Formats: sequence, C-alpha cells, structure tokens
Amino acid sequence: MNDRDIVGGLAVLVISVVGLVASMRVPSETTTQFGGGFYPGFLSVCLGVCGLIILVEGVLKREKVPVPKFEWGKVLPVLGSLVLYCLLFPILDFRIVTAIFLAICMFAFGVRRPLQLMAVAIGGSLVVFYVFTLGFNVVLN
Amino acid sequence: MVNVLTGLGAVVTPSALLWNLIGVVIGIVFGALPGLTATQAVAIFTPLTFVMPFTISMSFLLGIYCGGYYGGAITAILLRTPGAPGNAATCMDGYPMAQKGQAGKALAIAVMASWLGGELSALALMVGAPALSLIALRFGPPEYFAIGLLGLVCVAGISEGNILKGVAGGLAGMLLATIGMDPISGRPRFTLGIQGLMAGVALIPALVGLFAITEVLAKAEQMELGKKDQLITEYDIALPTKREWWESRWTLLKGTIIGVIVGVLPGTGPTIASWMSYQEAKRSSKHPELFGTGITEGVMATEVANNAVTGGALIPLLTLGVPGDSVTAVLLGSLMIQGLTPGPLLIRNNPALVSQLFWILIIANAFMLAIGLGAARAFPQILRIPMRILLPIICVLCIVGSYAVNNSLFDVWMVVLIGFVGFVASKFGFQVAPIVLGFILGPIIEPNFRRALITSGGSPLVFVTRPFSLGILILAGLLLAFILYRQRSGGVAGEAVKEPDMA
Repeated sequence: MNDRDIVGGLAVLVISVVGLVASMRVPSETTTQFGGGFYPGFLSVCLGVCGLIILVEGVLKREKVPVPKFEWGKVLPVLGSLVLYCLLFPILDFRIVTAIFLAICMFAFGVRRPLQLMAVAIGGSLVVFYVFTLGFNVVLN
Repeated sequence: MVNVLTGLGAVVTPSALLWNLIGVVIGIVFGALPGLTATQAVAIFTPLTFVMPFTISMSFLLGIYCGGYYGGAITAILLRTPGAPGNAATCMDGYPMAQKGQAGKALAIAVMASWLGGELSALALMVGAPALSLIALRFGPPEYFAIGLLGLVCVAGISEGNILKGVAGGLAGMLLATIGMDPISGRPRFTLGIQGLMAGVALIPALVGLFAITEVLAKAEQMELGKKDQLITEYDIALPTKREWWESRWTLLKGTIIGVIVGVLPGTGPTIASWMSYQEAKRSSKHPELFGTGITEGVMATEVANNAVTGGALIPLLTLGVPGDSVTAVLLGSLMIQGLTPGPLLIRNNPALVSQLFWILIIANAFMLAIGLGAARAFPQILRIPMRILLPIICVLCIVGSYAVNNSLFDVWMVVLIGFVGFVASKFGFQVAPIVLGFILGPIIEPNFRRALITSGGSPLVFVTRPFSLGILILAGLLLAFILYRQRSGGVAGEAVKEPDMA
C-alpha cells in the first residue's frame, strides 16, 4: 500500500467534492446552460476522477510508501514569523516590522551573533524599503 | 532596403543608445525582483516618455521590455523564484543546474538564448509581420480554446514521476483560477464574500507562493542548524561549449518559432511560449529523462522562447492594434502618447516605423547580452550567502514584491497560504509546476470554451469544424498520445525520475 498516494488521492477527492458542490451553488444565467458553475463543475468532476484513480492505485500498489513526515519544528518558526509579519505589516512602520521579521526568522534558523542579527535585520529592511519606495515608487508605510 | 537603413540611422544616436541601455538595466532589475515585472516597469516609466521623441521613447521602453523578459531568469535559476511568470519554466532546469554548481553557466546560457530568441524575433517582426497577423485575424474563441488546451498538454509533459498527479495539479490550478469574477457574466464566484477575492487570485502572489515560499519552507525543513548551509558552495563561470550549442540547434530554432507564433497570438505571452518550448524540447530529445535534472537544453528551450515573444507580440500590436501580451498592451498606450494609432494603416503611413523598432530590438538584445554575460559572474555570489540569512531576505522580497503588485495586504496573505499549500502538496508528490501552468492557462481556456459553446448553441462540434481549431486540437492530441506512449514504453522513466528536492 502506498499510504502517501492514498492520503493524496483522498485530499484531491475532497477538493473535487467541495469544488463540485460550490459550482452547483453558482447561480446560472437564464440565457444559456453554460453558466458560471458549468466550467468549474466540469473541472471538479475531472479532478475527482484523478483523485479516485490515485487513491485506487495507492491501495493496489505493492511497494510500501509511508505518509510523508513533516519537520514541524523547523517549518513552523518560519511559517509563524511569516504570519506575524503579515499581521504587523499594516500596523507598524515597514522598516520596523521587516527588521523584526528578519531578526526573528534568522534567530529561528540559528543565527545567534547579536551584531550579525542586528546588521542584517536593520540593513536589510532599510535597503528593501529604499529600493522599493525610491526606486520603484511602491508605497510602503 | 532604404527604410531599413533609414531606421538604423534614426536609432543609432547617442541619446537613443543611452536610453536603450538604461531601459535594459531597469528591465533586468524589474524582471529579477519577484513580484515586479516588465509590464509594471513599462507602465511605471511610460509617463516619462511623454516628453521624449518617438525613437528615444521606444528605445527606452523596448529596452525595458527585452531586459525584463530575461531578468526573471536570474532569480529563477539562482533561487527557484521566477522574477516574472515567463521565466517560471526556467526553474525546471536552471535551478538544478545552480544546485550542481553550474549557476554561472546556467545564467550565461539563459542570456545567450534570450539574446538569440530576441534577435530572431526582431527579424520575424521585420519580415513576417503582415502574413502572421493575417492568420491571427482569423482566430476566434474555438482557436484560443484549442491553444489553451495545447498548452495544457504540456502539463503531462512536465509531470515527472506521475502524470496523473501532474494532471490533478493542473486541474487544481485551473480550479483556483476560477475564483473571482465570472469572465462571461461578470458575477462573483467562489469569493466567500471576501472583497479581496473579487478580482480572483492574482497571478504574481500565486506564482511567488507556489515557487518561492514552497521552496523556502522545504529548505527550512532540510536545514541542519549549525551546519554549513549555503545554497551552493561553488559555481563555475564556464560558457556553454560549441558542441552544446550545436546539439541544441533544433531546440533553439523550435523555441524561437514557438515564441514568435505564441507572441503573435493576442492574449498569450512568454509564459505559454516557454512551457510549450520546454515541452517540445523534452518531447524531441534523445534523453528526455534528463530534463528537470539540470541540463543546458532545458534552460535554452525556455529562455529562447520567452524572449522570442518580444518581436512576435509587436506584430499584432502594430498591424491590428491588438497587443500580443501584457507588456505590449501598455506599449499600445505609449504609442498613442506619441500620436500614433496602431492598426492596419500605421505601417502604410509610417513605412520606416517597423525598421526602427527592428533596430531598437536588435540593439536592446545586444545590450542585454553584454550586461547578462558580465553579470553572470556576479549574480551567483548571492548563493554564497548562508541560507539562514538568505531565506528570511527572500521571504521579505516575496512579501514586498507581492504587495507591490496591487498594494494589497490580501495578496500577501495569499502568498503565505498558497506557499504553505504548495509545500504540503509537494510533500505528497504533487509538483507545483503543473499547478502553476493550470492557473495560467485557466483564464484563457474558460472564457473561450464557454463563448465558443454559447455561440454554437451548445454544439461541441464548433471546435472541430473550423480548420485552425481542428488542426491545433489534432496537434494537442498527437502530442498527448506521444507523451503517454513514451512514458508507457519507458522513455520517461516514470517513478524513477526524481521529483523536485522537496518531495
């Protein structure tokens, strides 16, 4: 059994069912049968067929492939600091929030030298800020 | 002939050459930064051209155009983060080349192939403009649907390991592209009442999320704290050999032809051209199993095609007033600023115009080659920065670049969300490239598919009763059959082919 494909196939099936249900709820125009839900519904059915085949192939396969393991201890700090960055982005000054993000993210990756942390965080945020605002006319608060 | 020489004389002036060079540099910088594209660069700098004469303004803007289409290859090769959608296919072999210590060579190949594609497409603009535009004039929804379908067949071609997972990824990408406004009725669809989804999932955040954030998370997972963690520790600066060029001559020629033809078709662009060229190179290769592992031919195929779009896309713009891609859509405005109205009468009334644009493109591509080759030694230094410092900086560039597209915080959230989904999907063997291709082709396929069916009263025969549409569909069918046949017969080593390093 290929557990990786079984779980993957199931996930695809779930997405296709959600897509199909959502497509059926799209109000159709009265002038044509090919309304807004027709095409995504068609895609969802095709996706469902793919998911089903991946699932069945996974069950029938002889080679044993386990469900992939996630190193959450390494991934979550990056993901968490990205989410924090997005949350603080509209609240704080861009330079401050970017410096905070860079410092947290680098610390999570194992940078421990204070001088390096500060130099990259502050220098990086300033360079990005001025390149985008002065060079490319992007408005960053 | 007189017009050709007159055009040359007009564009070889110190100021025109200087502005052309400035344009190329700006284009490369914009192209290389994820989230900023050649289209944005041309749009930002178009107002500056108000005060410029025609030749100088076009030298500047076409310089940006050419540089921008190449610039995206730099980050695609070094960071697996395409600076622009047209360079997404370059990640397939460019990034693995960089991983093998061949970053300098990959960059040199990219710029040389881009130069070749750009120069040949300028020639195509000069020679084939009227004929090609006449063919494009006959295209309607069935033909555009067929072209989209042909592009989708590329999904099967680029799906290493498991075609079914690639197709599922492509379909998921197409489904993702249906979020937002219904292209026919204009009604919101799958928006869940969220204002930010009304215009759909923007392309740049989706691309940055799927390619860059997915890769950042994968790299973070692989990283061993305290160990040497440079993305690459060594790189060569060798140029490709004459033999490599000679062996890739057909790939380069076909890539150029694909780029020019796709460029001519309105509403397409370098993204489709580069994927189609990559697929064709892989299909016709004696060693298709090596594609995706970091081979020169893969980089040549994509880069020659996306820059070959430049000349091709100008053909319908000048002869029909219809832009071939997003940059030429902005250029349309730039021409009108100069008091020129693109359309069938433009060339007749301004016979030297095409030759001027031809020479501007020739010169811009030459500048691009010189800058690109010079910089091929410098750019890989980026990868000598330790990963624990580089990855956070990439994240910041992704976030700011995605924000810059629409000044939308919603887009930034989409980058993180899509990046995380892409990371999880890749762990289960679903590659991100087919998802991206489906996402790009979806908006071309859906409206044309539905329009064709609506105009034919629901009869699917509309797709096979028009000669161009039928021809393209037959081509797509043959291509798909060939890919499936080759996979079954072991030409593509099925599961044996390594999936990307994050899988």
